[in-house]
Amino acid sequence: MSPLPPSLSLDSHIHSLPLASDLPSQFSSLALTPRPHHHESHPYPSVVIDASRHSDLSDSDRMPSTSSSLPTTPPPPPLALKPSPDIVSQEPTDDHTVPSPPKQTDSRHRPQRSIGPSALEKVISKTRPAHLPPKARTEDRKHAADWENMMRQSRLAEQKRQHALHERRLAREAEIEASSEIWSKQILPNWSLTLQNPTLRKLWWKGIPPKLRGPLWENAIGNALALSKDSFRVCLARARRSISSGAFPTHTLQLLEGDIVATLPTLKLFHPVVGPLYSDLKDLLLAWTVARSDEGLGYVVGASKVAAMLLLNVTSNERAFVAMRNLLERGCSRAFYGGSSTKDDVEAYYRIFDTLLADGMPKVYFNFKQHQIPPSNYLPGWLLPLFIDHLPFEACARVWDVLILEGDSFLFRAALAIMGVIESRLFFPDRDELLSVLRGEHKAALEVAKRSGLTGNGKYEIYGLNEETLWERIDAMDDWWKESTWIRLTQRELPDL
Amino acid sequence: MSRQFQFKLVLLGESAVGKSSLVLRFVKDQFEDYRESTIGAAFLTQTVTLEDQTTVKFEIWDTAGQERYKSLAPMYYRNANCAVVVYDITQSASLEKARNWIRELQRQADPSIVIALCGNKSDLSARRQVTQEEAQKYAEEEGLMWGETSAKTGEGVSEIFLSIAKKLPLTVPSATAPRGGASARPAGQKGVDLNRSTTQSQDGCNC
Repeated sequence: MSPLPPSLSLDSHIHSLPLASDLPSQFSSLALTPRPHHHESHPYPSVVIDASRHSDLSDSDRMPSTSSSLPTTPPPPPLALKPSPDIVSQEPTDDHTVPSPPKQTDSRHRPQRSIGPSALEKVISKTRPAHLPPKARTEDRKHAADWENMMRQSRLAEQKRQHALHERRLAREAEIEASSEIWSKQILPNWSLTLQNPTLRKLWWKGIPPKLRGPLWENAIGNALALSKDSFRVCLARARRSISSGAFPTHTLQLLEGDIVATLPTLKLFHPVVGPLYSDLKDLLLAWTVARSDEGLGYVVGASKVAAMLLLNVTSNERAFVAMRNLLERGCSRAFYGGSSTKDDVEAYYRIFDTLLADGMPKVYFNFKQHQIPPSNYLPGWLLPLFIDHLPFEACARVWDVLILEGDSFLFRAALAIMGVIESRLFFPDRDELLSVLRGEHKAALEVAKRSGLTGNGKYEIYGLNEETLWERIDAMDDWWKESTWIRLTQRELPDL
Repeated sequence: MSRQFQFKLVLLGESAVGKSSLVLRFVKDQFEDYRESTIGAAFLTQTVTLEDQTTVKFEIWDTAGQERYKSLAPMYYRNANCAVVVYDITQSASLEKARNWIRELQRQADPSIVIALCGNKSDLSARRQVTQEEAQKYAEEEGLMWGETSAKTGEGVSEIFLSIAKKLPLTVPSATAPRGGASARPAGQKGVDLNRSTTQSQDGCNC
């Protein structure tokens, strides 16, 4: 560990004494333990403070070896007494020590500053670490200008990056638009061919044209449950009857209503009062709940988001119902929506995810293990609503395109890609902080997002997650992700499926 | 006996051309100088009464012009009876955007949809970049209704909605208006049934 600037340690040292009573012992140990040397050379901190004016000599005599090894310097008084703001900049992570000392410095110094600027203020530099000798004014100005310049360039670079992302997006949209013909002429009439035709499959991975999403999703989801077109009306009628007779559990109704309120709130389409699709969504959910009640299953929060996504794309409630029933009966979703009867399967999926995480992002995996964050802390939040809560809308629709075609393996691949996009935020050595990142409620990121005008379009938007960054990550996994690994893992963990 | 019709009207156009202001003027006869941009969409209703005492109720879907909800657009104009595509007369780029919207509507929306092209901010004609002739000529070529409005002064706003109401097919109420009509809906749920004409939209779809 390299020695810290003497002035820094001096100051912390000075302040640690008057504050020792109201700060935990951890504070003083922080300031003192790493540098016993200083402690010895300044047994009387108050002397050091006064030294700012009167006892230059004594102070310079006491300077620790780090500064005495510097070339012959102008008198070093400013070194010992350094204004507090720089402390802040030098020790930004130390929350305990930083905030209070500066005030102390001010209040203790002010009475002595009676005749103009001190020697310190004449030579003080804003661009110089305090433990180094002061630099010339011209140099100082040059450095300040350099700094401005660097900041400007960084802003420019950011703008350029945004612009490039935008361009890429436009290019991709144009590509999708151009492929519309293939979609409507080749894929739609005979969609199952895409499964065998690698070219068409590749096209599918690039995103379905928005207006064809509905029919293609329906095709790819299929109707393994063999539900009739009437099933929606039948279930809805049953739901209405049981509500009017009071047999419908109020708790379920509350869960359902609450879930609707939390469904894509920024779109306002499903708002209970003004949302034009509110009643459609509620009908769909009631029918779904009734249909599942025959299997002894209740409402599961998250279903509303899946229903909403389908309603936005599939052209009729009846068909959205069939799609929803079938979609949530597939593999992983079936387990997560299955209540207590599929608890073991859910555990197995957690193990699968953990294995993949350990393989793909070992550092994140290790940090999570250290701070006891198992997949059960975040995976249900992602997988139950099929990412609708966390991804920006466009990115989510695109994930759904592939998810519906490829099933669970892509579900997990997308989850890992999300983890990859936010990876740099997952090394915090603090459990609460990690959990707040995963919940999409990390304070610092929220603040930054607010300043840049992001408006709650998916919880992870604040972490720079969007369609481009997510798919960059998904594509980058091409070499690493092996379907064979996925199959082996699922066969090991879920031999019954 | 007066007849009542209900129609879904969708507002489209680039962001900041004044879609929400236009609706605010039409529905509440108000104007705000500084209005935050719409997020997602806003939903309002307004009724106009024609000379023959027919009332036309517009369910207005005021959409966000931002690109970020692009994939919602088909859902917005699905089953829409009329669309108002707005441009800003002081921004020629916004007319270009309007042309794109109109092209998309003509290709994808219900073929019977009534489309009105609307040049907003006519109070700023000193800074005009889009001439009336240019816009009108384009509208005529495409068979659209066209008008200039100022949400700020109110000029032309009710006229454009009124002329849309007149142009809508007001002959077969049960077939044109959404199922049940406005009066049959429970209070507080001013919804447009998106699925009203499933079969119709399938037939009419170009794709």
